[in-house]
Amino acid sequence: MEPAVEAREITKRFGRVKVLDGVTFQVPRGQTVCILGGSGGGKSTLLKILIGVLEPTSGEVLIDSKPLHGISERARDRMRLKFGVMFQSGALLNSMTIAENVALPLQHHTKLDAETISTMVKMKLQLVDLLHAADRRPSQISGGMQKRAAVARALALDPRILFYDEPSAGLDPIATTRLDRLINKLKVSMRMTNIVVTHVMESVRRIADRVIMLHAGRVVLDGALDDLLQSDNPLVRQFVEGDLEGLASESQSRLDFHRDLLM
Amino acid sequence: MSASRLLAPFGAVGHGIVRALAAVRTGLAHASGMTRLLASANYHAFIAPLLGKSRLRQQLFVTASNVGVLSLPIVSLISFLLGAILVLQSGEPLKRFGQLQEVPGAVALTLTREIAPLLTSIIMTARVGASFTAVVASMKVNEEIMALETMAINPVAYLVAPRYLSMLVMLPCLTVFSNLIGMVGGAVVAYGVYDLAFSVYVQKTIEYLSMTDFVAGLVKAGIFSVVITLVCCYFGLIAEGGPVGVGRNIMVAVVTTLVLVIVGDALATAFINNYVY
Repeated sequence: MEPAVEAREITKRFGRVKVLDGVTFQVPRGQTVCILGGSGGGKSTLLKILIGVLEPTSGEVLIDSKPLHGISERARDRMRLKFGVMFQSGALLNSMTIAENVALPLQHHTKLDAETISTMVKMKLQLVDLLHAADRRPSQISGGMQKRAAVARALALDPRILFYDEPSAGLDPIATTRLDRLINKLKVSMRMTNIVVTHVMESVRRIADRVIMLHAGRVVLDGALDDLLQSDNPLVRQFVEGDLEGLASESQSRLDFHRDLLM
Repeated sequence: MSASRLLAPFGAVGHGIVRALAAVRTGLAHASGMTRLLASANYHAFIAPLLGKSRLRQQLFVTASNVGVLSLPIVSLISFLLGAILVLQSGEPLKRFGQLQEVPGAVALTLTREIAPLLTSIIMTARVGASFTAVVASMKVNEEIMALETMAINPVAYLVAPRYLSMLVMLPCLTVFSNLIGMVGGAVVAYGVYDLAFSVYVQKTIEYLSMTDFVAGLVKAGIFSVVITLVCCYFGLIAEGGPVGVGRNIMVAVVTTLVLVIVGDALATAFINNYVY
């Protein structure tokens, strides 16, 4: 079966700095893939390229075997309807209620009447357990609720692929578990392909079928969850165990020291 | 004297040239960005609705109400006071020469040709333009614009086009109000201070004013409306760096708009004086 998402030799440079270096992987349909890595490892840049808001310097991204970059704006907009995105901050429109946020993509991309849209919005909010907050504004609900509302909005047009940017960031353990359960529920009940950028190991253990680990813009591990947990790679071991001392922190601190020295 | 001291002035000149070139480059990049935004805003405001690809109507009413109706009180107050000030300033010298009856004409011409479009544009830059930048910039730094893009909703169509159209319609309308209320302010002061009857004031105003004066002011208002929306939305769309970035871009947008409006006013006045009157 063709992969839902495929990254081929993605390289991204900002000036002279190479942030991603030949990143290649496939995301099988109906699985949850976690993209891991420490801060500054290139995860966020990779996510922006995967969702089509940033152009790679070279390489290509395929969604359902069709290229996402190097195409017309109209063609890219059609591609964007195939996936939804949950941003780290939720990125809900603050001027609207939660229900209006979820209704927005339906109003823009369908010709459904207001009553049908309202019914669909209620269904999506029910799915993420937020029906009671439909008329509240994003600023009136908690961070965890905002993220679930963002998932409901991402689900509005029934995509088959969902991207999540740091879903656990800023959440307490209970809210994190609730969000992880939602990700699992979507995979099981809707056969959703989930691509989760995270650095929280507890979440990875709960949701991941496969993991891709980035370090300094390169893929250092691409395999099943067990491959991550049993890896001998010192970089991977340090990340999994959260050791302060190791290759990852050494390279980072040395780099910072040289940068400070030259400034 | 050491060689480094001797060379220091050349270094300073070199630094100055490099900084000037960088400023020119930044200016050209902004000009290019605004030109592209203008083209895109025109497409989404005028062409896309004809092709049935726009949801403009949904936001237009709310935006137009904010831009136009809610600005009316402040525009009225300032126009009334300026009309009154113009009469007070011109009344005394003209009275000395026995030309008091020329005051209404002078006030009407100054208002329609210059003060009303310029003043209304300055008020709208402060009241509405700054809020355009603030809203769009906050959405940019909160990733809301990126979220719109990933939902295949064009940010220019969704955010800029309704503001562009609203300002294009409402600024000339507010200028008409500013003209009328300024003249009322002038008439009230002329009656109260110089005992000039309302009927004489109205008659003299009509005598002096031509439709060309009125239309020239409205054309200026139309041009300023494009400048205000374009510059303020542009600096919102390119904002980055959290709350500090939002604040900085609001300041840059307002200052740039005011400079461009006044430069545009000077050019438009020169053109109209040479080719229209």
